[in-house]
Amino acid sequence: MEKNEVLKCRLDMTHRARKEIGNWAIDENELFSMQDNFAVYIEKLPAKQDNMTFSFYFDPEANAQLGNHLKERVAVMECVYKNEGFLATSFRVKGRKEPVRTNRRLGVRLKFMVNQRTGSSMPIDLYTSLRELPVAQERSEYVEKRIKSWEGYLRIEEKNADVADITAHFSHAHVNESFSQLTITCSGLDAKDWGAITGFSAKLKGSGDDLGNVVIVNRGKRTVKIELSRKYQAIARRGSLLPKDAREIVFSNFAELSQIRRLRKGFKDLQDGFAANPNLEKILFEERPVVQITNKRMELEFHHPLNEFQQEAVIGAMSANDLYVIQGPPGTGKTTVISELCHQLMKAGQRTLVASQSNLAVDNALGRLLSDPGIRILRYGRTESIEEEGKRFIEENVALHWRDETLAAVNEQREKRADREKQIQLELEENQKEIDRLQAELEIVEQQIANKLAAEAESRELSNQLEPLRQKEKEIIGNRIAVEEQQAELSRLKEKLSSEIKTCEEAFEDAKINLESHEEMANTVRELARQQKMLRYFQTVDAIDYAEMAVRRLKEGSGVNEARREPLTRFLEQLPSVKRLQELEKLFVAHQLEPTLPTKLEINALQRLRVEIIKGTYPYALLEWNEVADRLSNGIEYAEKMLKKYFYPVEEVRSNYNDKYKTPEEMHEMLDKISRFFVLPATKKTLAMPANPQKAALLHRLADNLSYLYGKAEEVKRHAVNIKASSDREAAGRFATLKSEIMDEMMAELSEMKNDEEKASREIIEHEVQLNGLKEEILALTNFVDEHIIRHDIEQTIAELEMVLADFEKRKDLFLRAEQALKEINEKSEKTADQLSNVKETFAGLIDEESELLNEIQEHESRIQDLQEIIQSDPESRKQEISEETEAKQTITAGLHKELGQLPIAGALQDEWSELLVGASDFDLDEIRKLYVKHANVIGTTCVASARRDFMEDYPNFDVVIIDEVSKATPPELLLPMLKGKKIVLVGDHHQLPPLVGRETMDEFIEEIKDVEEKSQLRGMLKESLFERLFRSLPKQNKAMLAIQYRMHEEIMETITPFYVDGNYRLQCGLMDSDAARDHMLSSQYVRRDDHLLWFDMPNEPSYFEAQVKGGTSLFNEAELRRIRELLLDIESGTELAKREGRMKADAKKSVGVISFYGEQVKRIDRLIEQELMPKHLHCRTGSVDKFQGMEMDIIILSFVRNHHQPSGTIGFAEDYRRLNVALSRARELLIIVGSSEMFMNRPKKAETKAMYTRLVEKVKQGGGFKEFELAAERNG
Amino acid sequence: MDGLKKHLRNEILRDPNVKLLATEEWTLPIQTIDVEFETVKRTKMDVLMKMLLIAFRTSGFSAIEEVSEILVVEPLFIQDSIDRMSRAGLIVMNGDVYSLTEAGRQQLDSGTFVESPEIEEATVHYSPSHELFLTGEPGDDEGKTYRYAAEFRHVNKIRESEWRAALDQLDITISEGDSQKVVHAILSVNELERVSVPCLEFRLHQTAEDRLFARVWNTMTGQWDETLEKQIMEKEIAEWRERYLKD
Repeated sequence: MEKNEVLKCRLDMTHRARKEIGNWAIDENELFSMQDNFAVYIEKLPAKQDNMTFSFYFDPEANAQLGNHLKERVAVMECVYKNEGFLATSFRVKGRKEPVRTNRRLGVRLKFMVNQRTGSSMPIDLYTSLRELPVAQERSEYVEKRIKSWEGYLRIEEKNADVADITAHFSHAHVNESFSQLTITCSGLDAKDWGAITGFSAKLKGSGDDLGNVVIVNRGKRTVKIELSRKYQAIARRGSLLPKDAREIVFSNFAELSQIRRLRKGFKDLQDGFAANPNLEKILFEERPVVQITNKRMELEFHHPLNEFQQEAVIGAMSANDLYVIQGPPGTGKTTVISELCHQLMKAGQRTLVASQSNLAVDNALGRLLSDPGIRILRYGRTESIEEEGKRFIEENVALHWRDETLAAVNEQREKRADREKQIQLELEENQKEIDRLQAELEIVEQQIANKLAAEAESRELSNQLEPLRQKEKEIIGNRIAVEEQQAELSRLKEKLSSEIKTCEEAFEDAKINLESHEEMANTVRELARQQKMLRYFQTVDAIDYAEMAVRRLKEGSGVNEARREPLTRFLEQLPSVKRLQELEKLFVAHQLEPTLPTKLEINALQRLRVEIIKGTYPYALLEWNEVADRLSNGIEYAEKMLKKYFYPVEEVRSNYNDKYKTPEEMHEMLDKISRFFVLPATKKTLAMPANPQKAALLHRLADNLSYLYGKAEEVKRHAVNIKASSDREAAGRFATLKSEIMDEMMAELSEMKNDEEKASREIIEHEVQLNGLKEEILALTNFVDEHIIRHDIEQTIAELEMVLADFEKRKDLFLRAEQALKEINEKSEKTADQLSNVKETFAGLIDEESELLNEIQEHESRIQDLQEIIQSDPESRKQEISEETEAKQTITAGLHKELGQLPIAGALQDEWSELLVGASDFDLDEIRKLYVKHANVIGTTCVASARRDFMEDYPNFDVVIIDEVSKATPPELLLPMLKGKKIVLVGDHHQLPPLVGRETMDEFIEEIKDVEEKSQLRGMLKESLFERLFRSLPKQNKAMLAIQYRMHEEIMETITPFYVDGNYRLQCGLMDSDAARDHMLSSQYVRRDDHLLWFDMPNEPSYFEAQVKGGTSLFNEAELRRIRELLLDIESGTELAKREGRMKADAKKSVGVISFYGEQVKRIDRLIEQELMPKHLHCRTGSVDKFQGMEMDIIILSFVRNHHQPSGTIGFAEDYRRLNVALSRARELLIIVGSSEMFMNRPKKAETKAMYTRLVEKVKQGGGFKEFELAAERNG
Repeated sequence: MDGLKKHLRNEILRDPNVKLLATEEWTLPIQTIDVEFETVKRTKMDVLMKMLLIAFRTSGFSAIEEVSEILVVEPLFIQDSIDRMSRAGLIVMNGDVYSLTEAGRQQLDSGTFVESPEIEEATVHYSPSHELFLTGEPGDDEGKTYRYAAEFRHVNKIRESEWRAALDQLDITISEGDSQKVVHAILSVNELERVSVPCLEFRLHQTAEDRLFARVWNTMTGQWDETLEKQIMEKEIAEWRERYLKD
């Protein structure tokens, strides 16, 4: 949607709307035809019956005719979206002040098509925007509650502050010694008034000007102390503070009230949608701040030197969208960051508001921006309350400030002008010289470039040649190494061979055989032959004996065989006739023959068989059948007997045959059954009865059984007979077989005997032939032997001779082999020697070749290196530089010439300008002021002042609002400047003291709440630190922590580091060398040069206790005051000494802050310094710890005051770690604590408080700075 | 004098906690000097605008930066003034340089002088002890001189800015309608006499807080003189404590 695009839309009327329009115009047609189109701000209302509902606000400024018609009042028309158009449901006219343009409303230009049922439909862009428009009254419950809590708080504050002016008569007016306070005695005030007027402004009745504010009232003495404004302090000095007739004074709470109203208005504006950033309430009051996260990081060029954390903070703040929070512990350069931010914003053409809770902080922040020329600071606020630092930036002073600065700068240039001319001439000459020099150099450089080109060509050529040479060198070296190896190998071989030759020669020498040995050997051979013949003789004799004996034995053997053949032959003749076994046995005996073993066994078996057959026990079947037969006969007998007993005619019983029961087992079964039947009791009983048909039947049955048995008995007999017959046949067969076996046996024996005989006779013949040969041989051998020769000796001699011969053969063989080996090895050695000499020759050749090649390569290389130097020189870039330098010089020369030409003009103009500036009138300055204010890009003011109406009108909003010392401001205070910023940067430290929130007001507000839970929730919301909550809950893109502090000596810093430990975050010291950078230069009775952290301990005993001032509540401590007095005197004299000894400049002063947790103590310290000590070398400042927040001094003396034995163990204000943190972090060079360590470490009830102070004491002790009381007193004494 | 002294004493002692320890009377040395200076009357005209007109009349400037450098004024201010002068038809861009129109020339002339310069004289009073020019009618008294009085200062050693500041106190610059009278130059200075202005010193003790302090009434300025009080207190408080409060 274009910003000024006119959108057409239909508009219908309800009766009511029509009627209401009728109050202001004839009808709707007249009203909406007043202008062609209307600038309307549309606010979305909660939907009605599912229809989107809106309020149209007609801007009286942008709609001139309508505005005029309605006398600049605001028309509000309520509409429902229906049928692609709007239906007006009501029309009202509100006051002139009714807000119109808010960030919740959609601003559009609409042309209404009134009462036209047909025609154009709703423009789609408008419809989309309307859909997306949030319902203005909606906000989350959480935001609602938070805002409500603060609103409630402020409402009570306003109620309490809304007090009518109080008028009183006064007398006895007098001012104090410094003209800062007016004390009056009042009459006519009632009790309520006395309680109320503290903090009220006071003015004389009839005057329009406030004298100042009431600071102290004393109802008892009826006195009121008024802190005079600066203006009235000056008037008091003139002695004309009070006109003679002044009798009545008016106390008014208007200033306070208007301030509270401004704070309340802040919340109203927030709710009405007047925040420059529509997202503000969600950022501030949603449980988790809703911010638009950006991951873009700006690239910045920094104006100030910043450390990494500061850079991060500046980049983050510049890149962030809605809100950025910077946590900055003491001395970490928050102001530097703010200063840099202002600079960056100035460069980006943005306007910045720097706000803070107190004037002092605003002025502090602005004071450091001074050095930046592009920044035009304007300090907004009551001149009265602005500190010296900020004064030059207030509107009435900016022009003067600007005039002075400009004048000083112009005069400086004027003073330098004459010099400048000379200087320009000089510079011109210098420049020309330089240009000439550069020209000359250029020629040289060009020659160098030519040389370089030539060198490059040559170098390339040489490099090309070098490559093959290197290749060749590599080859030669490879060859040489191979040959070297070969040579070594051969030498080794040669050596080995010569040692082998030696061994062989020795072996050969050993193995040599002489002539005698050969002869001897021949003799031995002969002797051996002779001996062998002798032995042969004896052997032959033995053989003859043996042969003769063999013949004899064989002949005897054939005789025995003859004798055995006779009985066998006869036995065989008789055997066929033998019929019985006994006869066969008799036959054996008769011929004196032993049957063979199988025959004997068979004979025995047959004998046993015969017996068994006769006895009937063979075979087994027969035995079985016999048993059956026995039982049958028994049964028959029993049955016959029984039947006979009962006179049954047994004889008539006939045998009965049945096929059943065939095998012996079956028959036994049958018999069992029958016998059981017989013995059955029923059978017996029946049988015992006298004759009756039953008995007759039984008997009959018995008879049947008997007949049955008869049958079976016959059957069995038949079986037995058959078995016997077959057994006999078997026995007869076996006998016949036996006989034929015996026959075969005998026949075989006979034929064997015959063979043996034949064989023996053949052997006899052989032996006899042999015997004859032997006998012949022995005849030949007898010559060699005689009867003295013994066979055994011969055998021995032969063995010996054979051994001698074998040994000789062995030696001969050895000799031959040695001879062969020697020959071979000599040949080999000769060959090796030849090879070696060849190889040596080759090696020498290679070495020569190599050294030649190396020389060549070296020559090439050194030439290339020479050339490389030329090549690597960079005359081209030098040429480029020279031409650039020349150009630059020429530009300078041109500039200088121009300046020289303009110098008289510029001089004249500057003279004129200086004069004009000096004589600038108020009017001139006013013009400058307007110009300055118009272009001011950094505006500084306090939070509350930023809501003043004139300021709101001059500066409705800012691109960026930076709020310093955020943790010291209450959320309502912060809200005021925040409303004005599209982007907000918060800078603070939640580990320092929080803002003062009126406890009583808070309690009163909480009292109103009924619900217990809500009570505590609201209390929590009022107590929480907005800064801390934002810092903890914002995403990392929206916050930064500064971690390097530059204020304190490292040792001092370490006292507060525990307060800042958070995850990986640690406070670091940015001073490169703390001792050097924070050297206090003092060397005195109590302070050594290297002391930076001291604690002068006070005993926890009554004489050192705290005391309360009469009629007051505040505390002081006399003993600590005495110690402070000593310390200040000591530091004063130490500073004087440092000056005398040249460590400090004569006019320098040490800044010393003496601070305490208690106002009364501060007051007494103040008096001590001003009235008694009046140090000349120190710049002393006193104040409560709370007041010192934001300040820094060279030396800080901190008085703890609390010291008692009360059971509560309370240490009051000192319990809050944030207050201690502030107190410890004010000193740059030296921090001195005066207090009772016993009191603070051991008396408090809370463990964490004890721990906090114990840690502090430990820290001091660690550095050796803890001074026991006695010791200090001794040194003092 | 006694009446004044009594009046002042009463005023101081209205505070019941204040005790008077002692009073002193002495005189403060003052140099009375005659200054001769030149004033001019001219049309009210914004000083920067005038300077720019002068610059553009004197020489051709094409870039704002050049002017900015010579005048040591931010380009933004110069741009703003040039825009205004262009709109008012006082200057035009001629070629690539700024030049004055006829209207511009007339404006500049009237902005420089309306009438010929006038020579005026004024008497001013310098207090070496304050290192400042004081306003008021200096009485002259015999009495002893202020014990910490500073050396008289040679008038030639006083800087121009100090003279102008002294004249500023006298409301010489006046403006009437469209024109204004301003000091154009200091012509000569001439020391007329050295006088001794009587002063009343009260030494006081504020008992409630045990604070000693001094009050010095300067009869020339007609007020309690903070500078002199400070000088005395710084040097004497310790001694007073010894002297007046020993017991």
